[in-house]
Amino acid sequence: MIVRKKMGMDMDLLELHVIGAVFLLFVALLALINRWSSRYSKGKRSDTKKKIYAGGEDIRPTHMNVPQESFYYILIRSLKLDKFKQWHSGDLTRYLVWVFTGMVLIMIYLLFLWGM
Amino acid sequence: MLPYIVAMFLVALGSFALLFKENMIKKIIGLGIVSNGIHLFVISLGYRKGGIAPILQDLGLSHFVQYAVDPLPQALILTSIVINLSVTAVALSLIIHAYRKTGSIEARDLRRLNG
Amino acid sequence: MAMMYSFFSLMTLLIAAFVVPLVSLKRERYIPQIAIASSFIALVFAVMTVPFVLQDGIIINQMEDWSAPYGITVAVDGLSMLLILMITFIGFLVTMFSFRFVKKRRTKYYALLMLLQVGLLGIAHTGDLFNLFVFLEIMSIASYILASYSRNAPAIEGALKYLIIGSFGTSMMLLGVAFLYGLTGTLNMADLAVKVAGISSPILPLALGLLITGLGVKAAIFPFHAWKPDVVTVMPASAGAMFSALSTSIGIYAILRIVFTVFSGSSPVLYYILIAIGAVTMALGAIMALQQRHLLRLLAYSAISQVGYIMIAFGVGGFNPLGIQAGIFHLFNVAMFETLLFLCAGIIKHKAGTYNMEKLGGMARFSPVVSYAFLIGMLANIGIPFFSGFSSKWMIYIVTLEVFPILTVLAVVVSIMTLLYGLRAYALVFLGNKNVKPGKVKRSMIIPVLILAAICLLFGVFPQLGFNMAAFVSQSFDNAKYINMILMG
Repeated sequence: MIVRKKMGMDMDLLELHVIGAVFLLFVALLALINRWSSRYSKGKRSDTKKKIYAGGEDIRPTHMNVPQESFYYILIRSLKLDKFKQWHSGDLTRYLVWVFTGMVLIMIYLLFLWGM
Repeated sequence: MLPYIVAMFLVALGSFALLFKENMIKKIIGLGIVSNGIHLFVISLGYRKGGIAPILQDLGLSHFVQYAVDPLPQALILTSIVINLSVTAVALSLIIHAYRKTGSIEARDLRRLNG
Repeated sequence: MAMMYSFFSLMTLLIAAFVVPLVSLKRERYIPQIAIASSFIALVFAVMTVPFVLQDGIIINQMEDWSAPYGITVAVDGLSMLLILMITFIGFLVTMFSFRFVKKRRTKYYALLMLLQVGLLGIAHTGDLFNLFVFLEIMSIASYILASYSRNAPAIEGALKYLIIGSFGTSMMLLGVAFLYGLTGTLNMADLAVKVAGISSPILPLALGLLITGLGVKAAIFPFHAWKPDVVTVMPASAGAMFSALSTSIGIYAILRIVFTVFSGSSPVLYYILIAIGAVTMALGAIMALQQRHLLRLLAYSAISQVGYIMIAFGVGGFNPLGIQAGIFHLFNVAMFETLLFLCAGIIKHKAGTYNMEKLGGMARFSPVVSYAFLIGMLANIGIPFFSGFSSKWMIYIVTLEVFPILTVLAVVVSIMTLLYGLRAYALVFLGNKNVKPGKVKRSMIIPVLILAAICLLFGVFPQLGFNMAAFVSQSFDNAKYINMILMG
């Protein structure tokens, strides 16, 4: 078993080094491209470029229909993920019901699949 | 057999009070009933028919070993009683603070933190 | 003779927790210094024990020389040693941070902080189920009062909810301990491991279910997680850092001791429970964290999600021993970067006065160092290469790929969701257009942050350190040695 553990660890390490090297290469490539392209055309700084969903572009206000702070909430509501937030309603009784039901379900599961 | 059934019934009763009553003080009473049930259960585990209290007297060690009830659950329960005492004290003082700040001690009104 | 110096750290903190209120009657100015000094002494004692554990594998001390099944056993093996080091180290950093962060009612704060550490250390040292219960309650009571520290309406409400859910959990755990005692007649974990293997009775799964419930309330895993965001939102950020990171670690440590030592080799059904709970916790934490406006609440749900990863790793570890090492390494990493993120959030609150991410902005102008540290913590949380989270998450991906590939898919999807909310938190708080004047952060608040950021980077750039540590600690799951040395030695 010890030999198998050691082999598993060495395999992990090789992949980690490969991934780390690829990541570093990619970041270095991006930095190089940035340095090289800014020598030819330096962008002007402006306030519109700093807005969150502008992506560094000069966008006219009519083109940007995404509301800045609440974009995430629109996405979440369309995926119906806000149901989970509504379930955590802050009601202590509901939380205790979860705890009790979870306990009973775990006990029943363990009893029927192990005990008998 | 009877003390075990009563103890489990107390645990069920206390859990019922915790889960279905909205008043905070009733929930704390429910917690107390649950812990009473558990203490009764544990002490009955050590009981021996016709047993004496586990205090070593001059009648001799063999008599003690033959007739004494199990002292370990009693030590467990003493500790647990003290812990429950302090938890109940903290809970009641928190309820007083909650009443002063929000004017209500129902669980459905304490819902500022949600989501 | 191997001395258990780490037990002295527990005693130092306990004595200091009682000395602090007495000293405050006369000289209140020196209380933070006493607290920092005692947590430093505790850290030194813990570090002094490490060579003995590395050499012997496990150190055992039977209190008052009553031998094993009859007396109280205090045992420190690899996993306990890791947790003791984490607790004393993070405790020292948090106490140093609170020097400037906490100004009012300092006596109560420092005394409770030290009692919290005592409870955590006691759980890490114990070899006995009843000791576990007592120290768990010490830790819980200290945190119930710390949660209501700021005395405003949300704080009282958070503390009250935590108190009721937490007490219900520990009562159920006591019932589970009672069932085990009734079946086997002993409370010593090594002795229980021997006796449980020989008994087959339908009460055993009931007892295990109750124990998982009780400890799961403390570890904040899926059905029992509801108290954690409320409490972390209202606790002062420094205490919240230590409590959030370490109470989950200790809860998982206790579940591990019970599932892998006491009930070891019983049946694969146990591992399926851990995997199922872990998967749901992971996904739920990430989904909820996407929708939060309050910075501390987002970090709390992020902690819940990472605990899901750890449970999956340990569940899969029942089938493939490498999973236990992955889980241990991820446990360590999560504690480190969670504390880092909470402390950075504390610095932001100290300057800006609010945690609402939509009102904050531009904090990178205030202090670039804090923004880099927060970014390092968040990148470690997401699992970007060269940060510590990547090394442990990659191990988890590999281990789950061999056993249940669908878990790997779920883990990667949750990592993407972590990326979404993590970068959103960073961008909303630190980037942006708001005009914030640059300022200096006090030294005692920035040094813990820098040390933790350095650790996150260290275990990312040199993952071999983490793998060696995890391999050594996972030897403590070799039950035969643990049982033999406790029952015979």
